[in-house]
Amino acid sequence: MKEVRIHGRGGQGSVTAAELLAVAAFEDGKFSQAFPFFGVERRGAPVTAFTRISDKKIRLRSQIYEPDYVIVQDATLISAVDVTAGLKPDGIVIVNSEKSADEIGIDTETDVRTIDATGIALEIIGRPIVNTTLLGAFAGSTGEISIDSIKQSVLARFPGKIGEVNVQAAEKAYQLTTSTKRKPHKKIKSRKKGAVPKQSEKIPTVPFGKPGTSEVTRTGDWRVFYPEFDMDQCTRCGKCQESCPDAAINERTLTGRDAEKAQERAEELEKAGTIKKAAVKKAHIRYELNPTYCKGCGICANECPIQGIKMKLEEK
Amino acid sequence: MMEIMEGSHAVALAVKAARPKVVAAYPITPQTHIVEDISQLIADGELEAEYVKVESEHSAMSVCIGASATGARTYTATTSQGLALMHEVIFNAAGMRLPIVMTVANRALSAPLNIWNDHQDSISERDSGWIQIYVEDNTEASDLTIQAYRIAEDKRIQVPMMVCMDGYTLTHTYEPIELLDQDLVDDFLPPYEPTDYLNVDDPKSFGMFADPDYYTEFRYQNHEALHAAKVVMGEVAKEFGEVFGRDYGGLIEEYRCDGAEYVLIAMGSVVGTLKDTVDDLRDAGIRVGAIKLRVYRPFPAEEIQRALTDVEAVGILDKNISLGSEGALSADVKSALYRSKTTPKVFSFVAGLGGRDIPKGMFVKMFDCMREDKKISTSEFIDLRTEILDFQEV
Ligand code: SF4
Ligand code: SF4
Repeated sequence: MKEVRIHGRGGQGSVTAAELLAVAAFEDGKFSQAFPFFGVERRGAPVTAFTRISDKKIRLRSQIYEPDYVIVQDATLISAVDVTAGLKPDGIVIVNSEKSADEIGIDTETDVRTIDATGIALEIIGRPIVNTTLLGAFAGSTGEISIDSIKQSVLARFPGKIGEVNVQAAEKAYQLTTSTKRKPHKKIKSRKKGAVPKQSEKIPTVPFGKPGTSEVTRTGDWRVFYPEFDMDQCTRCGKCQESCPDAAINERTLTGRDAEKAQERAEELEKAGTIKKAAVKKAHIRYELNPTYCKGCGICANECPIQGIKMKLEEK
Repeated sequence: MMEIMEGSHAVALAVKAARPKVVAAYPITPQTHIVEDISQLIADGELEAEYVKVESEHSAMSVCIGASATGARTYTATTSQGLALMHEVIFNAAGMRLPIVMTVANRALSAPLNIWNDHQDSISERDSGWIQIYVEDNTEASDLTIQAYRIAEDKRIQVPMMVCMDGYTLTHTYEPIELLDQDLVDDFLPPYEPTDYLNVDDPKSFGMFADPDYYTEFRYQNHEALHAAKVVMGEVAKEFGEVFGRDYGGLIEEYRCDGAEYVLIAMGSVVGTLKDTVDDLRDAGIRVGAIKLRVYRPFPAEEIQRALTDVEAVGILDKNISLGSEGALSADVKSALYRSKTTPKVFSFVAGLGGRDIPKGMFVKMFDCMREDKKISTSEFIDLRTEILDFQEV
């Protein structure tokens, strides 16, 4: 039996990837099983999904602790999640990154392969949806599954044009990875496990948790795209700020010379007929991004009534 | 024929094959995919049934009760808080002897809020008069949906039935499914033809008032019907095996119990992991076995007594806890053993609550407890993370 663990973020299609892999294995004449571990479901939050592939019926229902293969859909996860935990010594890790295996700071001696799946997906699919591309890379890197079955499973799930471009992306990744040579990888550091305190004879205390805070969750690390505000067009309606799920849009009031400059600019624009009078009065208000928390979900851009927000690809 | 699909979809297809006339459900995770798929099948005209959209699970069960009383085959599905909200009407369905079939996508109960799998939701309805069966994989979930109608609608018993499948672990898992052939299903499960239903030409009362002179007799009838369901289930399983080629054994399934000194009993999908663990330990020369308890209500006491006659010790895994007492299955097994001639040592384990994963190593730990005759508590929380707890003096 071969076990695969997929690490991704909510919205990247990790669960779909695990399912497509299981379907492809079934197409190859094998028994397979795919299942997610749902955390607290949230776009951008770390997600894990699992696939088992075997020649016999699979009864095992536990999560996968000693995977043969790991797929990492987003290299930013490496600092947040122990992606190689329990990986078999002869296992393979496939990471979506444009960097080389030695540059991504991964804590393992096993075989690490990187592939710029985001780049391939953006080029071929037009969106940074990397799961099908990575499945192509999986087929190429491991030989565990045929690329034809991957293609079939993708087409069955996504009929028409969407399926076709996903298949092309998978094929490209497959071609790139079948030619990659294995090379040993340097171990960087190892983690220490905390000691387990002894159990006392006493009874447990009454549990009341502290209120949670999203302050510690730096959702900005999840971002692939960022919103760009067109302050010349902006009517200062505040919709973007209200709709941001991570409160990542700050309202700033300009003062002094900055406020005067903004006022002058707004008056010019009003003369030119680009904005209304009401907006001129609020010219000293600015909407600005807080990059620590903006996760690039694009909700603000969707909500802006004048389409004044454009989602731009983040420069790495 | 086998096809690979999500567990929820397999159940939806089985429901379609059973041809219910009325489906009423309220979506709640992890049951949602099942009812979404069924409503899609109805909207696409693949299943001719009325899909009643309701505002709560209480209403869903109420609609099923009304529809079933008119003689329609009915279906619903729920989980966790939804099942808890149904509680009141669940008892009505059984007391009115309506053969409703319901899938329970097992999930933990709040608080604290938890959407993951354990058995607390359906275990908490164990006294309601419904048959409860716990399945190990998605083919069994699909097959038992068909069998459930045959069992529930059997004129000799007429009781509702819950098919309990682990939320996420089964509902959201893709795996190969043995598909049900519609023609075979139609032969095996003919249309529901009730003799007792709301009929103006032959009026009958459902769920009427019963004063102290009669209430006990209603309860007794319901209780005896559940016991008789054991026979019906045996017959239905046998016939199903002959027609479809899949036999799940009786109320319990004994796995490598021959010559076993230590046996662990569990319910639901975790039994698969347990069987793999038993294989590993047997390979290492350790004489262990497993019992998959399929039918929890009616409780298979005689089967348990017989299966445990020669064992040294029995371990029971409960994915539920009757707070202040012990795991429900453990209490039932002990009660059965009290009436048995030979009584093995009993080890009760509580694990896998709120979606905590049970890997093979956890079963090895349980077997070790039994083999070393460890002193453990009456319900040992064997996967407890003591390191995150604070303790105080009483
Ligand atoms: S993309 Fe917009 S809505 Fe989404 S987190 Fe960033 S600022 Fe907020
Ligand atoms: S939603 Fe658009 S117009 Fe409104 S404040 Fe935000 S950027 Fe400006």
